[in-house]
Amino acid sequence: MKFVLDLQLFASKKGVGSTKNGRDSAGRRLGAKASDGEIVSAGSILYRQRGTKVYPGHNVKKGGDDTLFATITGVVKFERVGRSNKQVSVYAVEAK
Amino acid sequence: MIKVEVEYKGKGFHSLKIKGHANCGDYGKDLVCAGVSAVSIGALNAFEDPDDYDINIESGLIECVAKAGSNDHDEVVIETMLIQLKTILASYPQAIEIKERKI
Repeated sequence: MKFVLDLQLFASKKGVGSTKNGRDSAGRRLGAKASDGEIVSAGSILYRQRGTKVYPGHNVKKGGDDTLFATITGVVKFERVGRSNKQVSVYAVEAK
Repeated sequence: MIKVEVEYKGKGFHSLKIKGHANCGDYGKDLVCAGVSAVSIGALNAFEDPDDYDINIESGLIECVAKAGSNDHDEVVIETMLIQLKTILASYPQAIEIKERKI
């Protein structure tokens, strides 16, 4: 036989090396946890974030991981601060 | 896709060109590629005298040109090879394309 058979003569690429990529961490489920106008109890988490996309407003404090939470029971309000910042506040609900 | 081009001069075979990649599986597991490789290289080995042809074989390419026309035996070999390639084409139309023309 003059010609030796290479069964993969018309195969695509030669053996492709493996990639070093392909890893990713699970999503951290950041973002708002209470919506505007919602009534929340004291201690409720309002906003999960990295850094201060949203600032703490009235009756809201910031945790160590920048999480915003309510310090009183009341209704949630997202407000604009200055030209481009946002804050979240909680206002007490008047007893009827 | 693997492209097969066969040229005839007068009534006889003149040249064959098989080029491309089947892309039907990872390297080492590509069934269509294996089929086309076996059929085409088998045919080249079946020629009465391979030295009657200019033959070039490299990855993803076979070229074969008759130096001075072919003989009845080799005509049957080419015809058989084409029928085998058309059989593969019938099952894997997305992987192979065959063109025949007279020059």
